[in-house]
Amino acid sequence: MNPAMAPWNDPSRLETVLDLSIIALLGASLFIFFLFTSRLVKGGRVRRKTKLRERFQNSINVIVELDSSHDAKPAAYQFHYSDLQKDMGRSNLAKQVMVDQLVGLKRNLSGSSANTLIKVYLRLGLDQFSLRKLNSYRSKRKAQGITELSQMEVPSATKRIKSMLRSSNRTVREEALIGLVRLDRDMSLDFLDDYTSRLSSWVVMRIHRQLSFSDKRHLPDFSRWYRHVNADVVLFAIEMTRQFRQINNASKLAELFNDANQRIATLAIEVCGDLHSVEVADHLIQLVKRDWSNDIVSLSLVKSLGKIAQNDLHWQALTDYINHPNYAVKFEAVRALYFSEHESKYLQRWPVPSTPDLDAILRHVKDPLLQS
Amino acid sequence: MNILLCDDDDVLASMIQFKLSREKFGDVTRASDGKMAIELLNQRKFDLVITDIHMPYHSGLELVTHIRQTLKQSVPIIVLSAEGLENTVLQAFEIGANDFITKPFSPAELAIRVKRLLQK
Repeated sequence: MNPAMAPWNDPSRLETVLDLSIIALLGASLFIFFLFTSRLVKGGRVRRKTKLRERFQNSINVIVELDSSHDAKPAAYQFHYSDLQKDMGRSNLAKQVMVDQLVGLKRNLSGSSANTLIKVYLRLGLDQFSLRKLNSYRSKRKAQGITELSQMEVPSATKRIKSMLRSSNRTVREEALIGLVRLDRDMSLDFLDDYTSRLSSWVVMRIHRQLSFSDKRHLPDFSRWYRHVNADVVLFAIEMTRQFRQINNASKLAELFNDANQRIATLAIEVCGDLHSVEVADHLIQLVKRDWSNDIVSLSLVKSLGKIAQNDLHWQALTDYINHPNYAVKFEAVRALYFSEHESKYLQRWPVPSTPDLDAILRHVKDPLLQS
Repeated sequence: MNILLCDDDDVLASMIQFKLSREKFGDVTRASDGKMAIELLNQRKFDLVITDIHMPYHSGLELVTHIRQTLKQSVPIIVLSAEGLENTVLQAFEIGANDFITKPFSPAELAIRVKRLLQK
């Protein structure tokens, strides 16, 4: 490089380099200052939240204990409500801390204690605080509002939450679904009738968990949705039939074996097997030849047949699957026969030359690590 | 009476502690994680242990195993959990828990179960 061209020999270029360096240094300093102050602010916020939580907790404990004990006079703990109101003031931070505490406790408590928490929430006007969140343009805040209102069982919020089933934001839609399940006292799940959006596996699990807390005798008959236009709702209904063992729906499930949607058809077949619905075994036999070339349907068929086969016709159909081109299907057929009382009749007399890998499959079947 | 309460949920633990104190069951010591719980158990004896399953460092089930197999104590243990799966419940009893309460639960019911175990 020509020394005369080096930047440190050219005053104007040197000045530019210096200017850029000063700007970079200033920028870095500002950034560090910003980081430092935001940490300070955040730390202060966390400390304030902790203090608020401690202040609120004592009053909440007293109110819940005395209100749910029924033998304490309301006057003994009413002043705690005023204390809470005073401590909360108009601060949104304080209100949020209070709501988080009440919701957190409500999740863990049941009975009269849970009812008292709802009373505290409503008496402090926190339902209005949560309702305002539903107007927020931020979907996270909207979802938070839905969770709070549904956890604290505010029935007047049902209509607003239902309107959010059509939200373009997935998180809001899913929270609205779970919220409606929580708020649905009679467990009718009516909101599913018009539901046209996706139902993810995660949401299905959450709904199932929520329904598990309720009295199983009041659950709806899930066959109501077997013919829904939304395939996700149909799949949800079939899965819930399995989870809650609505065995009376076997014949209605059998009508879905011919559904144009393969996922629906295979799930219906699987669930019939899991519910040990022997009455549909003959329906399954009719599908064996028709769906022979479809490995996915064949796998569901052979698994279900293995659980509900009753007579020679059924066992013979299972035996036919030993010749299936797909290994997984063959494996399931051999496993079902091996562990049945018909092993000697069908499996031991199977002509091995037609299935050269039968020995290997049997070794695989007998492997203790694969037995469930 | 000394009761050890192991739960990482501060708010819930505070409520349980309050309830048990009101019922005059004695002193309630709180451990917010499994490590603290084991340290406390190694230092002194308790008349009853109430533990959540999911906690930092050591789970409630590990705690039960530690009490029964390492410390060889027969102190009554109540397991609290949001997870009410059959396998979890059976495992808790198999390793030596005396009672299992699924969340959500009623504090009044917890108090009755504590009273019953302390009377035994």
